[in-house]
Amino acid sequence: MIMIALILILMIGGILAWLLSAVNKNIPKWISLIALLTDLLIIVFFWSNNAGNISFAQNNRWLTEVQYEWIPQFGMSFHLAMDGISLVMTALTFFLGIASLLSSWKNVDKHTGFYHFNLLWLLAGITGVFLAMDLMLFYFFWEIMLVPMYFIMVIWGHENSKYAGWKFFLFTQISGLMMLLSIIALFVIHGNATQVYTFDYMALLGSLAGGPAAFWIMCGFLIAFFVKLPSIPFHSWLPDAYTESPVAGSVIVAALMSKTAAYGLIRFVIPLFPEAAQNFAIPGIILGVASILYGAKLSYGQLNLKRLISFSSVSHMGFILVGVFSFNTLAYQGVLMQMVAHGLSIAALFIMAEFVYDRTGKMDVNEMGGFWDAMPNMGGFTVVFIMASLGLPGLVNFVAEFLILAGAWQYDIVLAVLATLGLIVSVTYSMRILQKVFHQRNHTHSYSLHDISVREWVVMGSLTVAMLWLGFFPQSVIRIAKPAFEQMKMIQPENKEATREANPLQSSSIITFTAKKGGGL
Amino acid sequence: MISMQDIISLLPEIILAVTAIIVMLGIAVRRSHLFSAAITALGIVVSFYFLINQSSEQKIISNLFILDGLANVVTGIILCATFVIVLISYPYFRVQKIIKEEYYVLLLLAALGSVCMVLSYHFVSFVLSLEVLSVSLFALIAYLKRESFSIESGIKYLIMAAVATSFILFGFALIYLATGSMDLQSLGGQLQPVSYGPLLLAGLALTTVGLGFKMALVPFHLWTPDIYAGASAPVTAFVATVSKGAAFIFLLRLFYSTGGLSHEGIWIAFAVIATASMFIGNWLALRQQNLKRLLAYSSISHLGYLMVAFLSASIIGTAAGVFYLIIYFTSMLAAMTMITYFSNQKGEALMVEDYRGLFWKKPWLAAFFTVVMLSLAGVPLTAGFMGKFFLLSAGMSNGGLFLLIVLVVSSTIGLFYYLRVVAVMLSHHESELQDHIGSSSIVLKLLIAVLFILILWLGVYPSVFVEMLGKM
Repeated sequence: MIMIALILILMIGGILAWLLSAVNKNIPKWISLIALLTDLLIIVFFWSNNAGNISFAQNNRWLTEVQYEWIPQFGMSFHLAMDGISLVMTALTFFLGIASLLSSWKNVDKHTGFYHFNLLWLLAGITGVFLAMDLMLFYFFWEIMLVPMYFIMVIWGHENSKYAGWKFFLFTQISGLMMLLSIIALFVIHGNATQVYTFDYMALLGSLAGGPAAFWIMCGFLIAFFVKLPSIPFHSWLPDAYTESPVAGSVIVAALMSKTAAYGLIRFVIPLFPEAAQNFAIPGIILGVASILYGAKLSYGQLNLKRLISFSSVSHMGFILVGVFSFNTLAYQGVLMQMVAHGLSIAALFIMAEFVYDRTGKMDVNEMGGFWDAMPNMGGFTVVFIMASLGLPGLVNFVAEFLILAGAWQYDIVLAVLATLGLIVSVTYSMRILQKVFHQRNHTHSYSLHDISVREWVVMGSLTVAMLWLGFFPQSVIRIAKPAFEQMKMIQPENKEATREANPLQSSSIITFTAKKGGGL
Repeated sequence: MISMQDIISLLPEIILAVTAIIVMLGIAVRRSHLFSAAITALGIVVSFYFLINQSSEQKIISNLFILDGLANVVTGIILCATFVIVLISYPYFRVQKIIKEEYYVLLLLAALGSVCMVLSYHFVSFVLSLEVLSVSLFALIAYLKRESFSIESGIKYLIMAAVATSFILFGFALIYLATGSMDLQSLGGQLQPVSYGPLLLAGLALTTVGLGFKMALVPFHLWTPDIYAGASAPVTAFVATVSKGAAFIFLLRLFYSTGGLSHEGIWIAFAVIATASMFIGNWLALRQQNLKRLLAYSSISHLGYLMVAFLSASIIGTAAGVFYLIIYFTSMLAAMTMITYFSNQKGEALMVEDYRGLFWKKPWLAAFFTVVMLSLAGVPLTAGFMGKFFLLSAGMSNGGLFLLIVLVVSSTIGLFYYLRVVAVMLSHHESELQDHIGSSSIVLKLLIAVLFILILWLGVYPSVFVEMLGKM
């Protein structure tokens, strides 16, 4: 029930915000804040209740689960379930949701009701993606994210936002439809084989481990996830979408929406198609490494602050690809940490960029410089965020990238070494932000800058605390997600046996032969 | 011979015909717009009442008509659609300074023709129903006769429909020559796909041309945008939904009962038509500034999607096709209701630009229109998505992956222009809204609320409707 409550609070809050905006245009943001805080409190309460008694029993896979009939004729059910991974991701969603809300507390002054309606429904969609355990339900939530995001981008975005919104919508829509085709194909193949037509995640697990069909079906999923992640060569929508969105949009699309794709990879692609994914491992890691290096290069060349941060996201998401296709627990834990770490650090950087934009009205780094004198507090926070982004030990990104690289090392040493180069190049573009915005003197422009306000202090401070806390105590996240990863490891060997049995040429003929002999004896 | 039982089975159709006569006689006594509209609506409701009491057992009446689950469901859909059209016609024509009462006679006859097309199981009954439909439609399209382009589109439709009918007649003649039978039942019994001779193939091809014209499939689509733009919004709604749906059902019956789709050449020909309709429909809609022309091209692509269900040649294909009809009817009628809402006695809000900034003046109407556009585009949570999902499942179970990819790619192209309409409504530069009939019509407001709920209901929880199709 708790999961339904989480989603419903957001959806109802959104409708209330829209309706009550007619009364007073300041009401909606308070409704959003209350809804998100309630959700965050619920999830924190749930976490602290469950942290002590996570069972490692095999039959108890979920921390909590609900399932209702939805469209029984098509085998769709309303199936939500939460394990450690989902718990961490939903907590991150609400935390960053509040951060993005507070960071844009004063920017949005037109059509506030509709804005907060979209914001809350967007977050509801993201929450749903992290909880859905029915493939069609997952697809529904996946697509629910799109429309509100499009509205936020187009209505409250910067100058070029209409173009960015279209590009975003089309890229994600066509890739989403490819995934839909794959989901339906999986449904039909599973149904024809077993006569049970269902979209349920647990039922479909292991129904199609290897073979050409599995490969093509997996490709449908991969396209959807690669576009949203984004990985090269599907990244061209990203700089426009990230740059033209209003701050809350940028934070949510970069910090949360891209995580839904990473989550999809470890929740759906690897468990549903273990063998096909194994075959895709080397191309997957190569794509990841290429994203890391190419993203860093593009980022280094940008003059627009938000574009610079956007491309750094491509680079960081490359680590997730490397981790996902390394196939070991170490790397998967790294992937989870990277989802949290990148969520926090990219959100922090976008919020910083927005605060600078609020004060100067500029995005071009060449027109900035020497802001440290006027804004020492913001500069201080930015140093922390930059250090996090480049992976300084003691901050959460270091833990994540270290785990991923350690995992990748076990899979392929050469590629792991190449991926490690990413840590070095990230220094170049990250330091460039700090240098251009806060240090280097700029005599062509002068701004009257005021340092951060209490509200901004709270946002940046809480992000800093989260980064430091998880940097020193990553175990709090890793431990709660550990059973979930152990489950994933259990699935793979089982499936291998299952396919071997299904393939008569390989083994079953021998088994029947020996069985007959045994019977005869 | 026709028994009493048969007459009872045909009551819904008979009631439609009788209602048309009552309205006509009523006009002879005293002209009253309200009376005509009310009697028409009442007749449709009574007809619907008798329809839902029908059993879904298959029953053939004197070789001409067939009554089965499919016929019942589609007749029901057509009656509902006609009812909605009557509801939007009343406020639309109330402000026009023309003679309005005959409109309802024509509308009832057109609905009667469509319903009989759905029931037809014989070439003769089909041609008769088709002509009842076509002749009423000429007059309906040209009904606003002080508008010159209205007359023009009426004549255009007259010529095209006459050509199409002659194609169909010639095709039927060739089929009869090849097989010696005119009813689908005996055709289905004697045809084997391997034994298709050139005569029969030519006959089927000519019939397809005629039906393709009615359904506005590419390459028989050229009349569509002109007639959509020229006719009044309620009539456009009728042309876009009911007449196309009825032709689709006969196409389904013709090729399913003869097993024609298992002939490879025929299948490929239809696959080409479907692909062309999906792509060209969506492609030509991209740059349209006129909302009704945009919807015309959109409907071409929707009929292309529908052909994917037809081509899967299975029971699930029929179910998917009918389900898609429900969804397409709902979305298209909703769009036409919206256009009617913003019309006045001078004209309709035809251009996309007329809706600029609507979101900030009439948020609920704009939200409704957004949902309609997203439903036509097939975005989840709206009815259109469920329809596409059902189509894709039907296609997938048949293994025709190529058509499914075409469907996906072309519907993404379609997103461009649906989103453009939404983006125009969202933009901040507001255009002056002229006074419109919707602001003073409770019926239209209620109807919009009902359609709004229906589209979301179909999109989120369509179990009820799917169950109905399961009984078909």
